[in-house]
Amino acid sequence: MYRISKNIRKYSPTPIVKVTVGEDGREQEEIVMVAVNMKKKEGDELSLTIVELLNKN
Amino acid sequence: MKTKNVLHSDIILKIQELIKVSKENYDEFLGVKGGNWSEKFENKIKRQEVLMDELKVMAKAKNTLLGRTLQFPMADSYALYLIIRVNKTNVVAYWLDYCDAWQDDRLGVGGELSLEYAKAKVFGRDKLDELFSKKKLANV
Repeated sequence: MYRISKNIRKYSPTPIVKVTVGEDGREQEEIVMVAVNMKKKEGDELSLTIVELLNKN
Repeated sequence: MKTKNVLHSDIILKIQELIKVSKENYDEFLGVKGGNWSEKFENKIKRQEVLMDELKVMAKAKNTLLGRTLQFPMADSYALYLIIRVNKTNVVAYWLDYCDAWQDDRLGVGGELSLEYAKAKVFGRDKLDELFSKKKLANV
């Protein structure tokens, strides 16, 4: 599953991460994309749209 | 990879069939007079169960995780996932719209799990099934 990282960035867009389940059953985040050269708000909105598209069944 | 696909081609076909059945949606018939939503819904679940049982037998015979299902407890039910790919270190699980359609928080509509974790889950489920089948036999 893809989502916005739980480590929310304060001044720049938060990365899109791929969530995987490790050996212990806990989730691990792997950064797949970060919106750059954009304002935080715009970047986060774009990231949210991309996440929705990626998670379409 | 090609030989692996040929080796498990029957399992792959069944997986495709199960996913196709799982994607069927009868919400448009909900509340419609004469729509028989519940009949359609029950029929879907029955077909899913038959396919899952067939996949389990095939996967066990070939000693692979491909086509096995994983259950994650959620509230009063569980989220159901189907293993659609087995890699060297991880497996890819795909969400099945089964019964009340719960989804796991970590996997959503599908994702990757560590191979060891998936193996432990499947092995644990098999042992539990074995235990209950023994109990059933003892009660007969």
